[in-house]
Amino acid sequence: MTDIGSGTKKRVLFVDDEQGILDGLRNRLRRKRDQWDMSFALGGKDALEQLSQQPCDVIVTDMRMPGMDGATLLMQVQSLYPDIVRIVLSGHAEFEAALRAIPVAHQFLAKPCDPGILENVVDRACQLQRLVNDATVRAIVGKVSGLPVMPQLYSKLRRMLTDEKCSMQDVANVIKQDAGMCAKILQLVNSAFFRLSRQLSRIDDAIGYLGLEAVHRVVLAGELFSDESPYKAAGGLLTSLRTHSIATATIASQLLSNKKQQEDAFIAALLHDIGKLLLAVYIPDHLKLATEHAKSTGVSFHAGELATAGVSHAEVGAYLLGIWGLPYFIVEAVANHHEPTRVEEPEFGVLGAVYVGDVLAHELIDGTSEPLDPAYAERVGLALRWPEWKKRFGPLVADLGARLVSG
Amino acid sequence: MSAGGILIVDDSVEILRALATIIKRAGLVPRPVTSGKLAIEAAIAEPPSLVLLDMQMPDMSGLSVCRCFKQDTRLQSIPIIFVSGQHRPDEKVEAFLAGAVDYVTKPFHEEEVLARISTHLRIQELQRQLELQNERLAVDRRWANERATLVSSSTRDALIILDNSGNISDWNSAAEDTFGWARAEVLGKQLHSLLAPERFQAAHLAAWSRFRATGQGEAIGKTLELAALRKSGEEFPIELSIIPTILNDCWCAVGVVRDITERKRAEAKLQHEVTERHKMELELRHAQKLEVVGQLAAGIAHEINTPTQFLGDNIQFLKEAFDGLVRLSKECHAAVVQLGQAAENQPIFDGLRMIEHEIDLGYITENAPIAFERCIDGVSRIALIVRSMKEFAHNDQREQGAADINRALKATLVIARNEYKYVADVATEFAELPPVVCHLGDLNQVFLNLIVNAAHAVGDKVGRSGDKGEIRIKTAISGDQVRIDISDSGTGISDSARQHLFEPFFTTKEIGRGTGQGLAISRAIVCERHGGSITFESQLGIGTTFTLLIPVQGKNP
Repeated sequence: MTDIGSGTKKRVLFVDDEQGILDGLRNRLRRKRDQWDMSFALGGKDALEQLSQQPCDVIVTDMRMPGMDGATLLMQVQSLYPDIVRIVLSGHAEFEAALRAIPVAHQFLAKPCDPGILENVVDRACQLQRLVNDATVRAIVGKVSGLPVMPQLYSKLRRMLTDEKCSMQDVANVIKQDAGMCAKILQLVNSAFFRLSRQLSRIDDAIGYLGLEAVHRVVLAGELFSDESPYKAAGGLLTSLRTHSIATATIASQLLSNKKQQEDAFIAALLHDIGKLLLAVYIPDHLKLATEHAKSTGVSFHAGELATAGVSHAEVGAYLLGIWGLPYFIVEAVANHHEPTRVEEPEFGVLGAVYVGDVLAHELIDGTSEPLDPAYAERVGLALRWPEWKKRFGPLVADLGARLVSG
Repeated sequence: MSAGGILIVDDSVEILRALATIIKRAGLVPRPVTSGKLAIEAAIAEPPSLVLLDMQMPDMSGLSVCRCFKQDTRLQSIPIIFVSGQHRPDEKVEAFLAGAVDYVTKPFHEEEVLARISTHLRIQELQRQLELQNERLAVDRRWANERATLVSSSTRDALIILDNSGNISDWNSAAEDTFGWARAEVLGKQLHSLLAPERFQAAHLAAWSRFRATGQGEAIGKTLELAALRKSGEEFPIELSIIPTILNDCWCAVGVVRDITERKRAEAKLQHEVTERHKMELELRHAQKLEVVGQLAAGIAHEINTPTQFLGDNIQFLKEAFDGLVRLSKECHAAVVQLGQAAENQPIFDGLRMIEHEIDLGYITENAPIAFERCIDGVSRIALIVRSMKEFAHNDQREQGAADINRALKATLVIARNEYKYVADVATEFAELPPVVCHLGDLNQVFLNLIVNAAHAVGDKVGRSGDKGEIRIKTAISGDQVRIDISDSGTGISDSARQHLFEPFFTTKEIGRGTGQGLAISRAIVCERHGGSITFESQLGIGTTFTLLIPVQGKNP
């Protein structure tokens, strides 16, 4: 995103039970000394002790360590210092290890880690933190392991995954209706445990690679997705958010002609409001204040957010997906889906489609019309196509609510 | 002997008493009754051994009583002796005609009565024994007949009797069932032309002509397995025993034929099961071996990954540090050269030159960066090998999982590099493939088998010539299947080897180089476990291409 080094140095803590690894990292990352303030802890206990003296921004830890292992350490860090970005660097790239790390780690890297990758991942985490300046909000996002799934959808998926006859495609079709699960699946499949040669963003591919057993274990493990209380408290809001996301994804994917771009736009649009979902569950006041402010002053909801909290759901969502290590184009589209001009997109692409899809979906479903950014509309020639799009997607969105799984 | 006693019938009580006394004295049991009617009733109640019957009685005459006895089947065998006061010859004739056995006239003598009684009792006894004997004989004969039929009809084996000319002279019901010919249809027919398949007839006839003359033959006294024909023309396996026998001074034969179709079928099934089990055991043992290797590989990978990490980190650091030092030393050198121009600094300059010469600075600055690059390359190769090894030994779950076939092939090429690197160059042509639902660990095994086979085929061809052949691996999408071609420019497969190629333990390699299980197991993995196919095309001296087709969506359950 923007350059670093101008601000204060980021603090990075490395944890391993082997001094050789720590020394090697110290040596190799010496060249980052101007940007990073690095410290090294020999084991989990040492790490917690150092953190109690001085917290850090990013922690990079081994998984298998005597005494306190990486998962236990990160669990402690998650509850004590939730705004620290938690990264695993493990030589034990087994799926079992991944399962242990999923709820507590934001990203997973494998030893040996190619030169550059570790630096990139840590740098990106630091940059992302600049997206959300409020440390309290960062802490809330950092603590999130998974977003609650609509109970009916969740129990449907649970039924499917225990039914031997259900196919990967069936499961993918259900998961594709939920932004939180999609994000989690993409986080896992793009982690080093699967060592894919390219980043995956299609849910169907991701589920293909993970296999149903792995999906079963991730989706049904622990309490990642099964918390029903938010739906009891704000079910209506969450349900309409879900409908909106799917409508946006459906529209956005059809605005583009290239198949790959269509798929990219679909997933980015599906996830574009994940920040809103997160805020609705964990900081409901944020939405309330922003909505009130928008109403009383006549500005958009997004502007209301910025005025009342200084941060919008776009940045919050992008921060979550960013520290989870999702493909960059998704993070970028989510971060800028209200201000597409912030990015120099050479032609109408994924970000543009998400932006237009979002506005169209709001207009067609909620009847609210937020004017298009005139500068952007002119740049990509939107005005001409607008009436045609409205006509085309009207019926498609109209029966979407009815088609969605509600039980 | 006279269990039923002697029934005495007379209307005169005196005579009754007198006769009873005589009989009692003789040790027999008298049963006196006073009328014919009572006599009949008493006889029916318990048949006597003999009856002494008065001729003249008031209500029913002795003759009438006698006739009644003779007409009743229960009583007709009892001997009746008349006792009469009359002496008319016609009366005696009448009595005998009525069925009496003897006749005594009153007044009677004790001795005469007793002699007649005992004679008739004895005659009756003899007759009874005779009848009994006859009856027993009849039963015996019936039994003998029944036994013979029973044996012949209840045996499941066909019994065929052949006369001296080889014609059928008997044919039991089992023969009817076995061959489908009714007894009447075959009697007198030539057995061999009827039942033997044409291709054996000449031999059978030759053997028979020897047998009919000598009673000898190779088939005699043994049980043979032969082929025979049913009436329907169907050929079936039989077991035949021939018992030679002489009838009317000629050699004849009894043939016992058993239909062994079922037995043969069961034997074949058993044989098949034994082979299958053997195959499964092999595969299991192989799988267990692989599993152990897989676990070891995962453990070793973890062990190697840790030092690889810090080896790489430190080399990277040293390289950067060295680059810095070289930069510094160049600046220092330039500074010293300038300083060296002043005479008083000459010693410092010379000392520096000496060290530069000693450590061979020119060589170091030229070669150390290359050495670092080599180290970095080496470490990344170690990482690649370890990763490939782990990927290769993919711990297969029972469930099929989606996998990247291209990546699996790359990993296998790394693993197998030692097999081919001296004899062949590898060219790959990978199409973009969708994830394939499969048991990747098993497929890796197949890839390895085929690559190693290809390497061996090329190696056999190039020998020690120093030339290199080629192994070409190509992937493509073909409908809803992924197609993998593994070609080599090796020796090719001979015609004789082709048909056995996928059989277990078939190998053309020398001992120690191949177990002969590779292709058999590969085929089982591809066809049975994945519902795919494995085929090959080969030209002697030119090379071989194995083609795998694997369904993208996995095997249909």
